[in-house]
Formats: sequence, structure tokens, C-alpha cells
Amino acid sequence: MKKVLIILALLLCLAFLASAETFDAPKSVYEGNAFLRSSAVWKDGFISFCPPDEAIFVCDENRVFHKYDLVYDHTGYDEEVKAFLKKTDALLMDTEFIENGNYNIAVSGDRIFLVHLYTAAIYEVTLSDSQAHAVFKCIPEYLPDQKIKGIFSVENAWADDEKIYINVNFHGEDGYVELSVLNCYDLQSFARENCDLSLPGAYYAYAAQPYKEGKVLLQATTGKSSDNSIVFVKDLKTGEAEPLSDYLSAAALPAAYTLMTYDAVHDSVIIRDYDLLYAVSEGRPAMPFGRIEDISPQALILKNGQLFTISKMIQVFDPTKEMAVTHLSVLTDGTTPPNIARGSNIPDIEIDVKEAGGTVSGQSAFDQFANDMTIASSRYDIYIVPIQMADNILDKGYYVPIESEKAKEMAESMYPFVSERMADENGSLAILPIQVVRKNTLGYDVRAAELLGLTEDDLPKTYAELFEFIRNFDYDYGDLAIDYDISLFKVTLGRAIGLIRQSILQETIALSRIDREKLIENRDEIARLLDDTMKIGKEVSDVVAPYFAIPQIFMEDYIDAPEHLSEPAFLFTFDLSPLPSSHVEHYPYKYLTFVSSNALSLTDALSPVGIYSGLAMVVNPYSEKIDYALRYIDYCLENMEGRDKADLLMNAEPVPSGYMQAYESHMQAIERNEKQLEYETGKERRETEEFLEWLYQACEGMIPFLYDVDQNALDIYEKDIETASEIWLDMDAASEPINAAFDQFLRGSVDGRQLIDRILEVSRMVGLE
Amino acid sequence: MFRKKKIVYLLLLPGLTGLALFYIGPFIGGIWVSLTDGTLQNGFVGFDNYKRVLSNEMFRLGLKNTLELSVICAPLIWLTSFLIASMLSSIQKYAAGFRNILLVPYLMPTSAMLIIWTLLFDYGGCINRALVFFGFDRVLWLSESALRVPIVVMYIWKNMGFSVVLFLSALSQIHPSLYEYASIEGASWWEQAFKITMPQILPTAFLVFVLAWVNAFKIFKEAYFIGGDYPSPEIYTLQHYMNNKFSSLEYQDVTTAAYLFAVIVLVLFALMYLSKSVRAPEE
Repeated sequence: MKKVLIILALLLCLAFLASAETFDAPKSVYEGNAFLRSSAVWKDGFISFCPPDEAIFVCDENRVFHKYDLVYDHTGYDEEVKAFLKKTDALLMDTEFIENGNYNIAVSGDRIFLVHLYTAAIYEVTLSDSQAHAVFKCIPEYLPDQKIKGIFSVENAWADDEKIYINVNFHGEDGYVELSVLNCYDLQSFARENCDLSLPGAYYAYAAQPYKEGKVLLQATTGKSSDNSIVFVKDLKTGEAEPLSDYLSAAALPAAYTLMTYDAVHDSVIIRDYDLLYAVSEGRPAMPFGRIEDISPQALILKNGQLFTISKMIQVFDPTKEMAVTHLSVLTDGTTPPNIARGSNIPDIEIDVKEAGGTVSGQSAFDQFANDMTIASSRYDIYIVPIQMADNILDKGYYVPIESEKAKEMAESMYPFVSERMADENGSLAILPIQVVRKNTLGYDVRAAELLGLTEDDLPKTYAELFEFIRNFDYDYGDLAIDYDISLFKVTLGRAIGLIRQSILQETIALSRIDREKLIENRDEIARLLDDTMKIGKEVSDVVAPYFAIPQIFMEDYIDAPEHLSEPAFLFTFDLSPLPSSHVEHYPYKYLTFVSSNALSLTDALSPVGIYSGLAMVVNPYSEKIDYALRYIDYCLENMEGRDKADLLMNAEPVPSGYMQAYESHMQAIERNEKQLEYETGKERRETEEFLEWLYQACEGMIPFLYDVDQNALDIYEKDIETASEIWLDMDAASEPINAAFDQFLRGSVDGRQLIDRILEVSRMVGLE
Repeated sequence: MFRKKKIVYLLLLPGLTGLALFYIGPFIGGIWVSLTDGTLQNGFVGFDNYKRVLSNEMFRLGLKNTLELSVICAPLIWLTSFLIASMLSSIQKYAAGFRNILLVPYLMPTSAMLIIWTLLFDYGGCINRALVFFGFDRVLWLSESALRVPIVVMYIWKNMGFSVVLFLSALSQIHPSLYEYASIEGASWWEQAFKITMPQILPTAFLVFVLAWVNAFKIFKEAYFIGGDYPSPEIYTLQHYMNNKFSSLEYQDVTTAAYLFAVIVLVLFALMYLSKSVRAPEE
């Protein structure tokens, strides 16, 4: 039996290897592989245009690349481009687009054409020795009849024996495609024929590819986004168009897919669903045959029937060999991080994510899990469940141990309070955490504190001290706060008090589950705190919180440091999660965790309460595809993001932020421009100096924000874990029995003591059950 | 005759098959579940589950509350339904309209009904305002022990209609001449009720009582909607216990609790049925 399994595993590997070969694109004159922007079938191989190298590369049947440096003959170009610019005056085009050196390549028999990306200027190329001579032919007429304002680009170009086809997209000011036009030109006279690309319903085409018998394939969508795009077959002669699935009577196409190319050798259409390639033929369901590593390549079917996908790496597929793909079903409630559950680069595993619905994190997926375990259902292979339910799952054994080397390493490196949750009695990982969240705590802006003359010792350490601080703030620091325009809280005082009240309530509930006796001992003190939250709002005016300030952090903007954080606007904020991945170093904040009110009494202080929740993946022990599920879990382990690891593992590494990439790029630019300065004079030198000045300032502004998680953040977190009591709790579910009593407390019909009594009553019931 | 019996059994077969497959079979299968440990290996543990559940304070609390609520609600429903049915039967002309009105709560979705009742019983709701108007203090109806009152009121309001219909049907079968003869003989209203009405409608009365008990055991939606998974101890029912146990994957405890309760209910109904007073009335 063992031998059979080994042979099967080897065959599987061979099958995988057989389905896709890979070889590199040629080396660029710059670092790395050449960027083959546009390619076309050429003889028994293909031909590509490489803009950075300004060269043509020919790949022969032996997969050897031959480079031809481009030499342009622009005779006649200047006059035609001037005329072109006059016509395009109303459009959003400028010289930046005209001078762009990008082309699409098209081949007609032995003739090679380059079509400019923005002007559609056509050059005919002849190859000799190591040079490609590109001779300007014309700028063909391609503007649409209707007036349109925007930027247009040549999406695709191809040629047959008599004509050259140019598909042009017109982008509106928002960047989305407003109109797609297909023009074809006679290869002798370059006279234009306009081809209608209109589609039924609300669909509009944004990419065209050649098909057969005078038809084209059109990638189309209904909205601004291409998320729900499908492919139509359009007959250019009759104008009829129908969806590909109807045209080929092919059932079971993916819900949304991208067109790759038409396989004329096997008469099938190649489509892509994310990274999985399918061949679609008449009357048959889409057949998966391979998985690409780069999801934006060009695709060519060579004369030998092989599919080449071309980017910086070339993958070769046989589109007639079906790839056995195992579909794993993952049930979630919709809050799953997509990079883990949705993406998978494992060639023979496809992840189908099903959403259970519901609003509480993971709860409805867990309800389904509970139901499925009673009936030993194999409907779903993996469930995403709340980590809080781990105990129940482990007790009952409704899991499959994850025993790979990677999993063992991870289990050993976890913080103990995490590994106790995730691992079974043998130390094997039973559930894989994918998201860990800790209840927010109070944070303070160190710059604001400095300006107000506050040291760490001056800041409150308990809720009671915080209330005193609030009461005295106006008297002690009010003048300075007004001078520096610093408000006490990031939100209005009323809102802040509400958040503090909520925080006290949650920690009290958590404490009732961790150590009920301690809560009973400190019941009166905490009750006074709760009652105080109802009084303090009336006592303290909002004079030092005059405005509602919420800085918006646009993490996508990596060009400049966040200027809106350049000056402190408030002292305290409630936004901070104490987890390392909480961007501690993005904000110039430190966080505070608060000790419960017991600090006021003479008895031992209560430690801070860390309320954790989160989501984890568990493999269904009744699944029929356990091996595949475990392989996928291993994939998730290997691809876990640095930030997520930092929340779980003691030996996590510092994680660079998005600013780091921009910072590195700026530093490289500084180096290049400083070298350039040595040779420049006059106006050019001044421009370079100005640019360098901007770069220096940008880099300096970014320095505080270079790391999401750094050693400092990890050290603070470790220290916090030592002092805090941790509990994994779904706070929404735990608060629910208290909500009615809390409403009555807010209305004044019960006091703090009665509210705590209710909390104790619930915790007693939970404990007894 | 034999041929007729054969046809009868054939006609009953689909129903009996369904009964066997979907009721009797799972019922017997559930007994096995209550005797296992509920892990993936599903080991036999004998009566350990029963011992654990019986010794669990929350199970006993849930059972006690369920029985208490049944003891309160079932007779109240029976009595109010009987009184209303008696009144309606004396106004035959308009009875149909009132009957339909009384059936509306029975048909209403519970959640919609509960929203309205919680507003009524809210601290600032109509009931408390009326109390204040008459010089009484407000009551926290929706918390602690007072919550039983709105639960009982809601339950009776919702389920009374169906019982009224059953009683009306039974009362309509009694020949009016019996009351005429009794009146002529000088029988009072009470004597007529106990000596004529009750014996005549006893089977229906028993049916209504059984239904009232069975439905009373299922009081949960109302308490859950108001109090959640862990309401005040006074309205924590057996179904709360089972619900919470199911959510924690403790299926064995759920099954065991259900069978324990089934045994108690069967014993109660057996006692009631065997009592002479519920046999067919003597002519």
C-alpha cells in the first residue's frame, strides 16, 4: 500500500511538472529579466517588444532569444503627429503620452508592425543581424465619430494577411473605459474600416481579441469595475453578439473570468479565473489545464499548439491536458482576510469560499460547523471559526491535527496564552489562527504630552485616576492646551466618557469570567467607577475638546509622509489595539493599558485585562479531502503575513511598512540624482537640486513611519502580556445578556452595583453550565 | 373483511413509514447518542451523561422553571379559553368574528409580537405609565423575577385563540335541551357547568389541557428574545440550557436533557390519562 502511495505521489508531481514548464525572459540591460510588453506569434516561436531595452526579442523554437536593437526611421512622423495633436486638442493628451516609447506588436505573415500605445502610429519593422529597423508608415485615423474627452490607449493590435486591427480604449477622467473601438486598416493603403463593438444590454467591451470566421472575442463588463466581466463573441459582419457560454453551448464557466486568447490549433478559447487557466470548447465545460504565476501575462498559442504566457517569466502549457483540480470548500462568515482563504498558488487545489452570513465574527459559520458535526457532514472541508470556541472543538476532537514541520515550528513559537488555545494535548496545532484582535486600549500622543509638560508618571494608571485627570485637566493644563490647540481626547468629551464606560463594562465582564472572586471583592469600587461615568460628563465642560478631530490615514499614499500627523491634535485616543501589528510606530503614540479600579483600595491591584478574539481555520475531520486541506493549511502557514505573525509569535521579525518601499525608492533616487549633479549645470542642475531637496524632506518625514512592527513594539507587547490577564472572549456574545441591564443603568433605573450584580449572575450561570 | 383491513394498512403505510423513519427511528437513535461521549471516537459511557446532567445545577434550574411556567400557564390558558369560549357560545351570532380576532395572535410571528409587548412592558411603557397613574411605582418588568409576568401574559395572549376554537367546537355539540331541563329542575349556573358542561366536553378539555401543557413546555422564544442566552434565573428554561449546550458542541448533554424531560412528561401524562375523570363521560 505504501509503495502504491509513493508511486501515486510521484505521478502527481510529474503530472504537475508536465503541465507547466517555465523559463526566464531574456536578461535586460537593466537589472533582472526583460519586460516583454507585447508579443505575437512569429514563425515557430514568438516575437516581443521590450520598451526599457528598446529592442525586439525573437524566441525561436528552441526557446533561445535573439535580440534586435531598435533603430527608428521617423521620416514623416513629425508632420503627422502635429496634425494628430491638433485633432486631439480637446482630449486629455499631452506630450508625455506622445513621447511614451511603448508599442504593441502585430505580425502579418513575415511582416512585423509596431503600433504606438497612444498615437497608434504604425511602424513596419525589418530584422537584420542584430538590429530591428522600424520605419514609420502612418498615424491611422482612429478617433471615434462621437466627441469624447479622455485619454485613449491601444489595448491590443493584431494582423492577418490583409488587414491590421487596432483596438483602442477611451478612458474617462476617472480612468475607467468609456468607449472601446476596433478599427481595421488595409495593410497597403492603411485605409480605415470601423468595426462596431456594441454589445447587448448594459455590457460594454474593453478588450478585443481575434477569433475565427470574421468574429472577435470581446471582454465586457457592465460597471466601472471588471469584477463581473464575461466574454462575448461578436460577428463583425452581421453585428450579432452573444456570450461565449451561449455561443459554445459550454456549461459551467466560472462566474467571472478574463479572456486570454483564442487557440486556433485546437479551436478553443483560453480564459483565466484568477490564476487558473481553462480551455473552453464547443459543448463542453471549461477544462482547467494550468495555473499561472503572474496573473497579468500575455497569452499566445504557438503553431505547435502550446500556450505560452509571457511576462518576465514564460510559462508553457499544453491546453489539451486536463489538470486534476481538487476543490476545497471553505466556510466563512465573510470576514476572512482574502490573502489567506481566497488565494492559493497550489496548482491542483482550488479554493471555493462560501459565506455563511451573519454579523458576529465567525458565529454563523460556527453554527454551521456545530450542525455539520452532529451529522458528520463532509459538505465543507475547512471552517473559519471563532478562536473562542477552540476549547469546545478540542474537547470533542472535531479537528484534524496539523502536524507538518512548519506547524510544529509555529506552535513552539507562539505566546503561551495563544498556543494553549490552538494546540491539542500532544502539542500539535489543531486550529490555525488567521486573525487575532485585542480590545482597544487608551493611547496617548507623546508629542502632545511633551508639549503639555506631562511625563509618563503624570499620566493616569487607573480609571479612577483618569477621571481625576479629566476633572483637573482644564485647571492644570487648559491654557497650554489652548495655546497648542490640543484637545484632551480625539473625540468629544461626551463620546470619550461613553467609550470609557464601555471599556469599564467590558473589562468587568471579562474579569467575571477570569476571576469571579476578585470581581466580588472589588465590586463596590468598580460600581463607583460606573456611577462616576454618569456624573462626570455633567461636571466637566468640553472647553478643552473644542472640535471633533479624526485624522485620516491614507495608507495608499506612500509618496509623502502624512502631513496631517505632523502636529499633535489631541492627547488621548481610543483607537489603539495593543497588538504589535497595530502600527505603533505609525502613530507617534504609545498605548496605555489600564488597571481596574482596585488600585484605589489597599488590597492588591488587579492586573489589566487583555480581551482577545479572533478567527481560526479548522479542518473538518469528516472531510473527504483531508490531505488537500492540510496542504492548503500548510500553504497558509507559509504565506502568513508578517503582521499577523507578530500578533501570535514570540520571535516575530520587524515588519516594514508601505512607507518603506517608497523610502527605499526615494533613497535610490537620491543616489542617482546626486551622481547626476556632478555633470549638470544651469537650469538642469537647479531642477535636480530642487528635486533632491524635496526627496530629502520626504525621507525625513517618513522616518518615524518606516516600520509597522519593530523591536520596540514587540518589546512593549511582551511586557504587557506579562502583566495582563488574558481571556479569549467574544465580547458581543458575552455582553448580550447584560445589554438590557446596561440600558437600564444608562437610564438611571439601576445603579452600578446592580449592574455588576447582573454581570456576576450571568458569569455564575455560565460557569455552572 | 380481511380485504378491507389490508387496504387500510396499505393506506396507512406511507404515514407509518414516515413516522418510523423520522420520529421513532431518531428517537431510538437518540438514546444511543445519550449513552456516548460525543467525541470523534464516540465511545460508550453508559449513564455518565445522565449523572452529569442531573447533577448540573443549571439543568435543574431550567427544569424547575419550565415545570413552574407550565403549571402557571397551562391552567391559566385552559381557564381563560374556557371562559371566553363559554361567553362566545352564548352569542352565537357574533362568535365567528370574535373567534377570528382571537386567532390572529396565534398566526402572528412571535418576533413581531414580542417587539410590541416589550415596548408595552418597558420601563417607560404603557403598563408602567398606567401604574404610575393609579399611584403605584414603576416595575422593572423586563428583568429579574418580574419578567415572568410579561412572559406568561404574552404566552397566554398568543396561544389562547386556538384553545378557544377547540372549546367552542366542543360546546356547540352539547344539546341546549339539557340546559333547559336542568333549569326547569332548578339547577344553578355552577351546577349546570359542573354536571352538564364539564362531563360533555371532558375529552376536548383534556385535549386542550394537554396541548396547553405541551406548548407551555416550549416557552423559550419569548424569554430568549428578551433575555438572550442567559436571562434572569427566574425564566432560564430547559431550552436555554439545551441551546447553550448545543452552541458549545455538547450534543450529549442536549440529548440527555431532552430524554430526561421526555420521561418526566410521559409520566405526567400517563398519570393524567389513567385518572378516571378523563375517561369518556357516562351517559
